[in-house]
Amino acid sequence: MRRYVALLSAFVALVATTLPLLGRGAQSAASSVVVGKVDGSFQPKKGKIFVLVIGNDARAGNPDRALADAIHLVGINTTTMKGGILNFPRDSWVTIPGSGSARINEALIRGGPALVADTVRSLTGIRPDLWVMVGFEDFQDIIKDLGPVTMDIERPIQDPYGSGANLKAGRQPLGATKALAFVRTRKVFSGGDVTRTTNHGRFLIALLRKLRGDVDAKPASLLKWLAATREHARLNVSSDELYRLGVLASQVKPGDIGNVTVPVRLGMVGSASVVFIQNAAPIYKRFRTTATL
Amino acid sequence: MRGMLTVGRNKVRRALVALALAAALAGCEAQGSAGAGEGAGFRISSPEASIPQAKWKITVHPSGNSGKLGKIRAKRIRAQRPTTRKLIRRVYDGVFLAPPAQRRDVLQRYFNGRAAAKFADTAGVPDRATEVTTTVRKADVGIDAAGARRAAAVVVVRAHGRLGPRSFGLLHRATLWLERSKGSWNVIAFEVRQRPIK
Repeated sequence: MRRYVALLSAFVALVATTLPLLGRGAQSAASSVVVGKVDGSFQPKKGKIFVLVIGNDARAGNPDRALADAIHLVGINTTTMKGGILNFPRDSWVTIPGSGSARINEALIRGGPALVADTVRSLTGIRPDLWVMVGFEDFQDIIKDLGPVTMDIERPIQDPYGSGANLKAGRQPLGATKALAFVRTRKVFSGGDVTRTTNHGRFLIALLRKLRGDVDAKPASLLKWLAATREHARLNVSSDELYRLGVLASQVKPGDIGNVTVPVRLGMVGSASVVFIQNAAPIYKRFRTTATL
Repeated sequence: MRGMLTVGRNKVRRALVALALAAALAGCEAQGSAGAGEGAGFRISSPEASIPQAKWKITVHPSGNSGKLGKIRAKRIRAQRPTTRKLIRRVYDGVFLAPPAQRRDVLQRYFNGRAAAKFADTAGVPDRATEVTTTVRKADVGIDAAGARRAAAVVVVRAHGRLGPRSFGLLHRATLWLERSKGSWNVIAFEVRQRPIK
């Protein structure tokens, strides 16, 4: 019950999400841009970039050592300008480098964002180029700063005893409270946390759509997104790099971003309920090779 | 891209959209252009220099701040107003009014090499254009309130001229993403939408 899906920072996600630069134009000449770094190097990796987006379950603050209840690897192919978001359910039973086997969300509490990145790398063969992380409050603060995010809700969501969500079906703007409720909801879904994890990806794409809309209408609004990200998210990129990422993010088409949750089956380890990732190798390979899903 | 403009033909009207990310092209271009912007003189040496042009309307304002801007930040923004205005004027005088040979020199002050060439190919009038007259020149610049080191500018220019025996007109709208490094503003990315008009 204490695992909230603290969600990701909007922008950051986009940021993450993005990286292709030239979005809509006839001329997409520019090359790949690279930003941040997990291991200290600047690495454009042949037109691909991967960003690890982490949402921790801290209700206040944004500590290194908490449970990572939202883990998403965002990839962008800067040649094709397409990308993907690969979502990992928090209960995925994985090998955490140097720390044995455990649920993937424990990687954060055991070794901070760097260990989450290492875990994802050992799992997928993809090394994240940078990471961004938000906590429980950060998520709401970002939405408060940026304004409501428009989401398509397929079916009504009512979860009075869990997330508190009370959302009608249809396209609607989600403010900070509703957005948090949306991304926290899992118990009322038959797919439980797996569905929630997929919803995180959908929310990230909705954020990207909002970013594009804002910047299209008023380019300088990107500076507001940057300010919100700097203030509320933790990330291992400089302000200059973030700015460039933001410019890139604003050019990514949401429709060109795939949203895939790794396939899992339910299981038990001792008395703990977990999920085992299965048949994900082809997905990893494709993502690793093309940065798209 | 300039060739695509095919100015003068009523039926050939293509909107150009281009975005280039100079930043990506070089993380180091800042050095190359540092110091070249503000101090160096720039004067248009073309026949257009004697043609009356639309007066620039450039607004500069802080962006990205929530709440009231403090004194220090307000002062930082004010300090950057002249330099960002200068950049806009020079870049656009360069692509609309300066002769081709001079155009590249102007752009290279504010863009890295490849980005300058791309911007020159995408924005402004064809190389052989003459009697260029601008009827609208305006820009809106939002400067990052936090540090006055980044800015986004929307620029609109409407121009007419001649290409050989034919007259042409075009409407240019662009977003320039600016970054200040070592005291000098540079264009790190841009998006251009330019289309012929009557």
